[in-house]
Amino acid sequence: MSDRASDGPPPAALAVVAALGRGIRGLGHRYMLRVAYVGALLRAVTTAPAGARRVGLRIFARQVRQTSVESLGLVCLIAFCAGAAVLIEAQIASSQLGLVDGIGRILAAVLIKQLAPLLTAVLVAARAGTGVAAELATAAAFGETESLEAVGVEPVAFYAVPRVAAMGLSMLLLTVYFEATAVAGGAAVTVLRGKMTLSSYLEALRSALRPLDLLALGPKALVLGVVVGLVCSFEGLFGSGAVADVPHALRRSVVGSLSFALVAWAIMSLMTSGVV
Amino acid sequence: MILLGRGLRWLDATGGWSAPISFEVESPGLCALVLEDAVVPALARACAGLTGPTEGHLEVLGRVPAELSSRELRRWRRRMGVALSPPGLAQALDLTMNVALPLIYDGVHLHAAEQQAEALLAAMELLPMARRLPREVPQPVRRQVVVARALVRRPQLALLEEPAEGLDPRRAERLAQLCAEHAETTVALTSQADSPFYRAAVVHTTHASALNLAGI
Repeated sequence: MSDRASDGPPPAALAVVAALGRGIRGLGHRYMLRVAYVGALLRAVTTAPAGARRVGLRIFARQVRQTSVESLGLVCLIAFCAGAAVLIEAQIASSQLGLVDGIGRILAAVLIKQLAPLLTAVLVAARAGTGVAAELATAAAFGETESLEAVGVEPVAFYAVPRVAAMGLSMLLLTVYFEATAVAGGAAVTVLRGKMTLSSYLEALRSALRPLDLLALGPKALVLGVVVGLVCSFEGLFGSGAVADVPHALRRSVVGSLSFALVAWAIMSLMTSGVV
Repeated sequence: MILLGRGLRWLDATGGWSAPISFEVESPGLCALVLEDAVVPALARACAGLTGPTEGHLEVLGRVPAELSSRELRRWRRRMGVALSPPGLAQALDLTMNVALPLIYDGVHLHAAEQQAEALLAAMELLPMARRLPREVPQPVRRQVVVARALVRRPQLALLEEPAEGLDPRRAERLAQLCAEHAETTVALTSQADSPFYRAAVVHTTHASALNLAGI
């Protein structure tokens, strides 16, 4: 009778397969937790008593103020530079290709319709998202969340709902600021370079943008903000609960929120451009 | 039965087992369980339904917390008030709102909940600090606020982890009096019952093998 163990794969290969299996199982478990988290969040929104909603509104207002005001300077600076850079390149490309209305089209297509919500989401994730993740991870590490849970206050309802909603609204506001500042950056280049008049720049922009393009930006920004808020609050609340885990929660929140925001942005861009 | 533990023990960080403990609390009043340092937080969290004992049987208000669904847990927690240590308060809310939170999430009107919370803080002589944020007050005040939050619902069972730590004798005695007024039964979990808080309590000390109580 032959030894069954000697017929199987060598132990090193088994260890690799086992590690791979553990990794996939862990990843699957984490994604299932995320789905359950969204469910808990929706339940909390629908079942919260009136008083709890008013408490949530206070936290929501504070978070909107923090996210919007804290990120505003950075958003405006990057938007202005991006608007100026895109316009310089657009002017060069248009004159080389002989496209009269190319400038407006390039700025509208590249920056306003596509990149503005994405760049704003990146900035919000890096600036405010990490703040949310750090706040919630610290609350978990210092026993705030379990203390509230023990007296019947669900941490998801109290901590996550107002912050996720606030991130959505803040993203919408910051995207509007981003676009306005990017247009201003383009206008500044127009005036300084003197290759075209300000009125022809604005006319080129107006003719390139349809009202539907501007309307589609609202939901796009809102969804990206909610995605960033969901990921950052999840990573903050559901870490190991140790103080040492706070920096890891920040890293996971940035990587996770950027990844999910990119996927969401790509899907929405395909949908609004008529590809899907 | 208000509280029942049979052969409860936990695995510690080094992989060793704590000594098994058993207890029964069957009549209302103020009771203190004096336990090993490491067991106090583990038992408090198990009684609150946050974690289960690694081994043994635990019943709180006639239910086994580890067997309850999340919906049942929410309903069951409304009959209890829990104050854990370190005192975890919501940093974004002032002390009044922190105390009022359990009432607000039970559906009590915001204004009424704030009034009840302020009355309790006044009874603890903390009203001048009622509108401060948790980070603006010292640790003993935060501990009192956490106990106030546990008592604000007038619970059937108030479960307090180290409630008197850092309190001066006068405040500790006042806290014990408020517990007697606001909760049917108060069970304090502590590693040393030398504070005046425990003067009126039935104190039971656990040793290496087991702790046996025949009610209080």
